[in-house]
Amino acid sequence: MTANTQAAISPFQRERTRLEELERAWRSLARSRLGLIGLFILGLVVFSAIFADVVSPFSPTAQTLSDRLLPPFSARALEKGHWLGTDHLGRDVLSRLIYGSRVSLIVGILAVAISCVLGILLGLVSGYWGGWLDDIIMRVGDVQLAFPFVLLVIAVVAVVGGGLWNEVIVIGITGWVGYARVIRGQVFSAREKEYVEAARCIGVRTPILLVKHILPNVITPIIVLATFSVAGVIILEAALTFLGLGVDPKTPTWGGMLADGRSHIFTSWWMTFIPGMAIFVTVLSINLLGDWLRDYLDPELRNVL
Amino acid sequence: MGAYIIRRLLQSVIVIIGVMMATFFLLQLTGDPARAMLPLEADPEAVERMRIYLGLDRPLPVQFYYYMVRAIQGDFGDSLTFRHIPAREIVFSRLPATIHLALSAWLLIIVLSLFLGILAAVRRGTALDNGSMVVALFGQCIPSFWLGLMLILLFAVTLGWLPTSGRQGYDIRYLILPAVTLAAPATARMTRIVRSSMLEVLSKDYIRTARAKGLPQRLVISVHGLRNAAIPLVTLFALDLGSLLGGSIITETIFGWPGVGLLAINAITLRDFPIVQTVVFYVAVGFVLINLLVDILYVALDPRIRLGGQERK
Repeated sequence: MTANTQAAISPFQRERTRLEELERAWRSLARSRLGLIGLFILGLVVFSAIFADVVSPFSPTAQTLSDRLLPPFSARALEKGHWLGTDHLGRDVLSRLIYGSRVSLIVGILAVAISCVLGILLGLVSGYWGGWLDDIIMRVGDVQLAFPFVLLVIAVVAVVGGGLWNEVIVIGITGWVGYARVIRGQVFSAREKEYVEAARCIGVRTPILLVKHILPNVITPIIVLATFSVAGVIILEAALTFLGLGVDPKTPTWGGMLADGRSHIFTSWWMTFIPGMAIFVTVLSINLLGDWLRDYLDPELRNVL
Repeated sequence: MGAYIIRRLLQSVIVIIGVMMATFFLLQLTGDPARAMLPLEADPEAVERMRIYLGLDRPLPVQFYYYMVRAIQGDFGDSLTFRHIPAREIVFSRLPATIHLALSAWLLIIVLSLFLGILAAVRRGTALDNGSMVVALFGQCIPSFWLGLMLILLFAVTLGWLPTSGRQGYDIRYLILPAVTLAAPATARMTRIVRSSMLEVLSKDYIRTARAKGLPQRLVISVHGLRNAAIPLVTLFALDLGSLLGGSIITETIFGWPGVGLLAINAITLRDFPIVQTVVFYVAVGFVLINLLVDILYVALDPRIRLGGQERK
C-alpha cells in the first residue's frame, strides 16, 4: 500500500507520513480498550524482564530454608517481604516469577523471529518462482505438518538436548510452514500486479523486487500471525520445561516453577497457581494486542486468523 | 472427483514416505544407537559387535534401504527398555487408552462448542454472548497443562470428588479431568469459529426469507442455518481429532494416563528410541490419514468443490 507510492515522496515527507501513521495507530489503540489493556500488561512484563535485577526484591535463587513454603500474603511472608510467598526451598516466588519472564519472552520472541525469517524467505521463493522449487518446499512443509507440532518439538529436543538456545532453534526452525504458506499465497497474486510488472520493466533486480517491492505488500498477515504465535510459543516453552525437556531446572522459569509446584500440589497451591497465572496473563495480553493489531492492519483477516 | 481422490492419495503416500525419512534422520541425530542399547561400561568390542548386529557398519544408503523396508511394515525394532519385545507391540498395547481419551475429548469439543457457539450467535450482543466469548478467549490463553493441574487441585485435592490420576478401564471418574483438560483449548477456539460462521450464515437472505415465511426459530437455525454453516465446521472438527492425538502427550503425563503419550515421554527420558520412533511414526501416519479422509469428506459433502484438476488451497 505504501511501497509503490514512496518513490514520489521526498524523504522529509516520508518521515512525516511515518509519524502520522504511528499517530493513527496510537489513536486506534487508545480507542480499543482491550488492546490498551493488553499493551499495558505486556509492557509491564517486558519492563520487569529487562529490569529484573532492579525490580525483583530478592535473588531468584537465594534459599532460606527456615522460610520454606510460606503462603502468599500470610503474616510471616509479609513480615519477611515475600509478597507472593516462598517455594519448597524458601526462594521468593515473586522474584522467580520476574526472572522467569526472561526465558519466556526470549524463547517466544526469538523462536518466532527465526520462523518468520525462514518462512518469509521460503514463501517468497516458492510463490515467485513456482515450479519444482515450490513443489519441494511445499511437500517438505506437508511432511513437517504431519507431525503434531508438540510431538515434533519434544522428539527433536529430546534428541538434541534441552537448554534455552536449543529450544529457540528447534521451535524456530520447525515453525516456518505457516508463514511460508501465507506468504506464498500472497506472492502468487502479487506477482501479476502492475507495480511488480512496472518494477520489472525498469530493471529492478529480482532479490530487490522481492524484498523491497513485494514483501511490504504481503507482510500484514505475517505480522498478525507472528504476534499470536509468540503467545503459543510461550505456552509451548513452559510445557517443555515443565516436562523436564527444556531449560535447565536451575534457571528460574515459569515452566520449571510449575514442575516444582506439581510435586507440592497437595500442600502448597500457590506454587502451581501463581506461575500458571503469569503465563495465562502474559498470553492473554499478547492475544488482546494481536486482536487489535489484526483489526487495525486488516479487518479482513478476522475470518482467517 | 475420482481423479481428485487419486491425486490426494498419491500426495499422502509421498508425505508418509517423507515421514519415514524424517524418523530415520531423527535417529541419526541421536548419535550411535549401538551405544544407546548397551550399558555405559560396555567395552568397545561389545559395541562393535552390536553395531554389526544392528547393521550399523554398512554404508548409510544401505542402512536407509533396510530401514525403509522395515518402516513400510511399521517395524522399528525391539524396545530398548522392555528387552526383546517389538516396539510396535508395546505402542499398540497403549493405543486403546489414548483413543479412549482422544475420542472422549473430541466429543466434548463438538458438543460444547456447537452448543455455546450457536447459542452465542443466536443471542448476539446479549450478556450470554459476551460471557461465552470471554470464557472462550480465556480458554485459548490458558496453558492446558496448567488447567489440568488446577482441576486436580480443585476437584481431586480440595473437594476430593475425583481421583488425581491413573486409569481404571472405562471408569468415567478417571476420564473426566483429563478429557476436559485435553478438550479445553480446542473447545474455546471452535466456540469462536462456530459463532462467527453461524453469524455469517444467519445474515444471509435465505434466513430472512425463512423467518419471513413464519418458520419457527428452532427450524430456521437447525435446518437453514446450521446445515449451511456445517461444511467448513465438519472439516475443522475432523482436523481437531488429529491434533488431539498429538496434544494428548502433555495431558497424559499430568494425569498419569497410560496411553501412547505417556509412553513416549517415558521412552524419551529412558532414551528408548525405537519406541519414540514408533510413536512419532504412527501418530504422523494417523494424522495424514485423517487429513486425507477430511479432504475426501469435504468433496463428498460439498458438490461445489468437485473441481478435478484445481490446486487445493
